[in-house]
Amino acid sequence: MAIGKPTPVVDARAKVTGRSEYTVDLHRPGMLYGKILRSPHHHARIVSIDTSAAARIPGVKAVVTGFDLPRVRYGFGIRHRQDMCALCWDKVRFKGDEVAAVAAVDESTAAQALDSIVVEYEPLPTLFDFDAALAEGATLLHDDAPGNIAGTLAFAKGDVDAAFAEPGVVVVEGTYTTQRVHQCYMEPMACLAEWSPDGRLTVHIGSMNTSGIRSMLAASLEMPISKVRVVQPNVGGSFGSKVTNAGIYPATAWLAKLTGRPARIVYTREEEYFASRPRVNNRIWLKTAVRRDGSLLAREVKLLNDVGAYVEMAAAMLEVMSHRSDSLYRIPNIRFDGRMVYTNRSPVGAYRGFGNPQMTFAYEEQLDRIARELNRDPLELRLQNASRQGDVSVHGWELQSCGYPEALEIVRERSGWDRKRAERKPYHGLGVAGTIHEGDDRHSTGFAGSEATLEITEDGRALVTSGEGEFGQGAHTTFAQIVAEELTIPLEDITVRFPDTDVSAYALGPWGSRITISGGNAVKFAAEAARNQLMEEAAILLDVRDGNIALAGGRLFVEGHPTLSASVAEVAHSALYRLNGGIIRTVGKEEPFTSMMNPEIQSNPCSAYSFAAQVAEVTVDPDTGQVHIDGIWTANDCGTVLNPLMADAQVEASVLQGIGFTLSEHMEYRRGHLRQAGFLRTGTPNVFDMPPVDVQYTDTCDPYGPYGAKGVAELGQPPIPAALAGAIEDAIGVRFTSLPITPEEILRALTTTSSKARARGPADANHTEEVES
Amino acid sequence: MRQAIVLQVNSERHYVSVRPGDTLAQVLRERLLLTGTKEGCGMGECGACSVLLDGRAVNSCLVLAVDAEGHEIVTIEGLGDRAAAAEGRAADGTLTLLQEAFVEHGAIHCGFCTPGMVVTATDYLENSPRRDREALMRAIEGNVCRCTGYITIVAAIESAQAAIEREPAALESAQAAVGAAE
Repeated sequence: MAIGKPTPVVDARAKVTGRSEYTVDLHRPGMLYGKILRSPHHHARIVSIDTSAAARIPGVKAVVTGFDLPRVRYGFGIRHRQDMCALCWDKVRFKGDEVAAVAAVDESTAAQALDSIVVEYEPLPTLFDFDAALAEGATLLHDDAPGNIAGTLAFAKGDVDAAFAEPGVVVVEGTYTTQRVHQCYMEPMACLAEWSPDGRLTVHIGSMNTSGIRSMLAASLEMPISKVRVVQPNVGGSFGSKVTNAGIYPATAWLAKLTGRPARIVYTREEEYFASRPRVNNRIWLKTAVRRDGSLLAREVKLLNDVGAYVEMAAAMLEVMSHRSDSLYRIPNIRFDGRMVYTNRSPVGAYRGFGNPQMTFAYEEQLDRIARELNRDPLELRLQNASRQGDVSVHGWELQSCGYPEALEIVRERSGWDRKRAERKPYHGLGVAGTIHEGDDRHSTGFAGSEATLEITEDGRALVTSGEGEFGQGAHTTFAQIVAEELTIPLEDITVRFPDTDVSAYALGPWGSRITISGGNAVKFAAEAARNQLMEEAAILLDVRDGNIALAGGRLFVEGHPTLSASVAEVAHSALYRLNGGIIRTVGKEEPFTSMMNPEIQSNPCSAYSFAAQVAEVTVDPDTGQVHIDGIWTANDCGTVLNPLMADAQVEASVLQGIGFTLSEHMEYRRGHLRQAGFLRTGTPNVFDMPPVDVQYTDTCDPYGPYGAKGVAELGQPPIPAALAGAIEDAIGVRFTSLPITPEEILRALTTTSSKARARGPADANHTEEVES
Repeated sequence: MRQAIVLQVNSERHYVSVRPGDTLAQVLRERLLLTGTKEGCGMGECGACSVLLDGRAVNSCLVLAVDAEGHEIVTIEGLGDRAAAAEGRAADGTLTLLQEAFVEHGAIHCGFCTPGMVVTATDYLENSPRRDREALMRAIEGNVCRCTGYITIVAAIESAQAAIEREPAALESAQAAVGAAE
């Protein structure tokens, strides 16, 4: 049995010996090194660009600007605003915006060339936050976006006004803000481009969204899609971010085209912070109504997302943020008003949870407050309102499997919640939070499934081709386990190819925790078809007219005839070389029965929904403001756990990323300037920041996912900010509604809060000070 | 302006002409094509580029190539052969105990931090005067991993440590390797 067995990643030996190739490692004969010139201004008109001095430097082979490339505006798919460009030709809209690119024989020559490009800018007024951008008469970042509104989404379900007016209801209200953080994947963005003499472009990219980037890259270069081939080598982490067509891809392609030589661009870590796609920062105003029996009645949300200079994926993010958290609890009345605001900051991208950690931070705070108002145990209140299996949520989401109530019970039990809450200790607290995540979220009415092919070579090994990307999360290992399970052959006999748009089928991209569900089902269907073919071929080889063929241990048996058998290799060999035979090659197609998210109507956008509950226990040092995390207890409903070794670490890693997001990580801007760029100076957690984490799973089996599995990757991070903020509040009587909660903020809060609030036993308090840091 | 230097990497001599400002990481990766050594930040903050310099782990992005001349450099690609040489075996591509432990414990996900982590932990196992959880964490404090949450990495290193301590031969060979390098 391969499913459910702790399995190291299939390419672990290559990785541990340094033999795995990532895009940053690729070299080609005659390869040139590219670099991108970035705007030093937050907002400015480009008056002129003089590249002549740069072009004269020995070793410089090409210099391109936005005036050389096709002047095309494109977006993240056709549903998004088409506001991006490869290299700017009219305006720059953030410090770091792409202006020109050079190719040279080595990196230092390329860097020298950048310094020699003379750009004349005419600075324009800058907009660094929501308020400035939304102010009357504010300068416009994009002429076709009045008021700097990049997009809106508003809808209502049920009767929210009547619910809030209902006599006797408890209403809580608050505003929450979050900061920008970087995904901090270890491998920087990278691209290697090369052209064949017949005018075809091949790009190797450090991104796992091969099909999507092929479309966007072709659009940005005004090329037919069929002339672009996108190949994905190993990717050194992503956590959502690397799916966009940042300027690096068209710029590299153009440099290679002009020079007729392969060209490679690798971002510096500094560029990562200035010009890649970090997590969106937002301001969430939230109001919740609850009946005195504790049942949730209504919720109203006003959301502002700072999308930076270009919309990128932010429109999808707004949609998802508007819906997702509403399905965690039973709540009948919802009103949502969300706006995306352009500012002079870098555009934003996906990061583990896709808006979920931010929304959860706000929603769960209000549950804690309601619990206090009603004098209820906060975990108990969540349990009372938790969605359950078979529920259809306020948006029409059909929860075919839901382990959330069980998850709450598990963390209550494992953390010693009841006992610890009864034994209060000063400066010591507990917090609880939960989350729901999507699995394979449909974002178009068109094809939203996955396709995989499987070939069995004549020596009995399996070659799997899927366009669904591997970026360190273990997709290839999961796919190999599925094939091993279906064909009963050893894991070592299975090869999963990396995506290559010339070879692998179109794939949607690795978001919404969809790879295991959607990609995994496609691989499973292909393997099932291969098994059937093997059985048919075995019947021919073993000359069995009637009688069932069974497959076990890599051999095909005739039932009732123990001596009649052949190995998978023998059968595959026979299939290929017998008269009228052929290679065993199958296709697995998955297309989910989901409907696109549409706020106007009820929809069920995901094949499956995953859930998690967490308890955090902290001790706060009143002298230093330091938060010591005594433990995190997690219970995850990801359906059947296909690979416990990888699942555990996925949860642990997302917990740590959540801790960073809550307590330390911050891309801090001051007067518009990003103050620090680098791992250390933006608070990236290291080994000492990892507390003891208890990882548990609910006993859930999803009817749709392969073997009952759902997504696990995005469950660990979303509850953490709320659970930690709750625990800190429990410890010191101060609720933080703004992230990150740094020691400085805690000290400031402790010195400004009344000593009564500090000294009280939090369990008996029904008043907490709210602090916006 | 270029300068010809000789670098001793994984027991092989390489003649390269470098600029004075070229870092060891750049020369290893771009000139010698030893791309197993990763560069995650270029400013000594992530540890991905760690290599052994005379048996001790250094961030190769902070070492100038010209300063590495005359020193014994071992990269992730050379760890297996180094262990084999220390044990008097022919180089056969076998993983070190530590590398095996990384594989078995699931300490490898995207793999980008792995070479630096393994190199740093090799230094810890061979040279740390104290070998306990705290010392181990201090040793890898400068190595960033974003995929695992460090738990499996710590477990892998501790298990390799236990294996070495169980088998004096393994410990001796590790010490011999240090001696050979120095």
